[in-house]
Amino acid sequence: MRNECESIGTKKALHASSAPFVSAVPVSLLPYIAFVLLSAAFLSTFYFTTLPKKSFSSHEALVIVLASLEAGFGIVALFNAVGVYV
Amino acid sequence: MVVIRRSVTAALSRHHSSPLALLLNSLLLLLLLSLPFSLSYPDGEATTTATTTTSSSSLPDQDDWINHSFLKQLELSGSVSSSVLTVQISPSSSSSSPTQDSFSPYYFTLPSTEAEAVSWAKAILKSSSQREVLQVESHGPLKQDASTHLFSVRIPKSSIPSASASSPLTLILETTLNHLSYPLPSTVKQNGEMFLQWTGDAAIRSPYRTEKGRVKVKCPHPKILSFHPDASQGATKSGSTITFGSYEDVAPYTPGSEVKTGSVHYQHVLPVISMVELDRLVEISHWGDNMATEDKIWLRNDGAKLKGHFSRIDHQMATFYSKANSHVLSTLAIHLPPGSKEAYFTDSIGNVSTSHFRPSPSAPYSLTVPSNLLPPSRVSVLEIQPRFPVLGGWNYTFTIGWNNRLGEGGWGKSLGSNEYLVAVPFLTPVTDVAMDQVRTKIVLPEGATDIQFEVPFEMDSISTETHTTYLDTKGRPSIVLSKSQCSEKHGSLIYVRYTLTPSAHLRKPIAITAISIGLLLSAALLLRFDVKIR
Repeated sequence: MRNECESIGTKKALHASSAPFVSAVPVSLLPYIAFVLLSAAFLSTFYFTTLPKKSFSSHEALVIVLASLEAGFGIVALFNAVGVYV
Repeated sequence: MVVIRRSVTAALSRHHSSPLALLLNSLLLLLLLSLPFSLSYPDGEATTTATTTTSSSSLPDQDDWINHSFLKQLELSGSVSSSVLTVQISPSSSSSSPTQDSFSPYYFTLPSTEAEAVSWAKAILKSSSQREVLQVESHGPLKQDASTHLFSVRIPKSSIPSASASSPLTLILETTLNHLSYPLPSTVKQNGEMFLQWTGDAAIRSPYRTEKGRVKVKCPHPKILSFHPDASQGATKSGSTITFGSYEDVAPYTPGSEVKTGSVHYQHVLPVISMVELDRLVEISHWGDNMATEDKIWLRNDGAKLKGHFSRIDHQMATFYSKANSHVLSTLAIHLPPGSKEAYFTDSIGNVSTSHFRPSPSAPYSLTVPSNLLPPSRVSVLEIQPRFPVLGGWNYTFTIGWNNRLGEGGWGKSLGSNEYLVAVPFLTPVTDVAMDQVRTKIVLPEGATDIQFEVPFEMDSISTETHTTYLDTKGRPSIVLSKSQCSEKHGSLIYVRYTLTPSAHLRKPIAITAISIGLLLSAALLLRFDVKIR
């Protein structure tokens, strides 16, 4: 990381003329996304526990990955929804 | 935490196939990850960029310039005073050996008391055709005379040929001075009036010959107890302004020559506040489209100390009459940038409910205007009332914080190809509050690379480190800037440019997904073993 000794004002002018930042997901929707994703994660985890443990199956692996993805994104959405902007 | 885990593992061993227990355990592990923990990472390379001061400097050639008129206007206030020095100059015809550079330096001499108080300086050059802002350099005390400090500006030679005695160049030096006046008497009763004393130059101090000039001192309140040199020696008082002068044909300053010292003893009806330490933490979040600012402030009332005891009854009665205990700090209004929301005010005990926050909508086009100069309708006001009235000499430590929208508020900009540019205010300017030590830490999103930043003024030290907080796996890159002796003039923006790839942006949810996969896989494995005693 270096302090670029450009002429003072180049970043200022660039900042004033650039497009505003847009987040990947609208922040106002994050509480609802969090609720949907976390309940889906909870239900998927519950479904995973009901799967038969007699043999290994790709179906079980799919459920694991799905539940984890929902949990991952749900937790990040939850943190932002309660005000801890991670 | 340990007790809960033990009971869970005990339950697990009894009903190891219970999904509820598994879920509880996995939730606990997730909680552990989400707790912020700060590992002691070593600081990055610290670079100190102090103002170039040469401890031994000598006076310039006194024949380089002539001051046709010299007007020094000192505006006194509580902890921050300001001075505007307007000189009309022209190059002297008897100046010897013109230099080869494209600039010709002009030097200012200031007394050491004033020079050491300088927290911000700006010079403006006005000629008949143009107006230019010049950089002020500090050269430290004179070799032969430690009571005088030297400052210089470089005047471009292109403006000089047009200058003459009839159409001189106008040079304006604006400075902000911290802690210039001190309370006199130093102790005052709780409901008494407070007076401050200023001591400084009442005459002209310049390394060049001055044809005429005067010194004006403006006080915040017309009640002035005394000023020296007084009316019998030529000083005049009009309202709240004292004029020392006018002086004719003043010789250039030489080491050892006496410059008349003046003093003004004036009343100050507001508390003299200074922030001894200001620790700012700014976190940029892309998932939340947010810039979270938290200020840890050590506030001190630098007015006259309390004589006698503090009486709560007298204080409650006096709050009805605004003048009675005017030097006591009971409320402080901090102007936050427009669009600030979710503000909080806490101290070491907890939340302080005696505060009022008035939010205002975002104004992306007024980002560069300091928040204490914006009109009241535009700015968000956080009025805080400390737990106790802060009397002279007393301290109060507290934390305030708020959030700003990156996109809507205009703070964060997207430059395309995963590059972003954010503007972060160095401090929140508060009128007439001197800030003795300011440290700002700007925390960028995790995985930000190729970081470049631009500071609006010279910092005492700049360093980089890694900051670890919620849901971090490798820590967030952060920039730490610190500066001593600041004032409201230092509320400008720091521009930080960085690159954040989508894979770095997705690091957090993928990390939690990976942990969850690990947990569920281990659950799947464990559930296949039957350890029942048959």
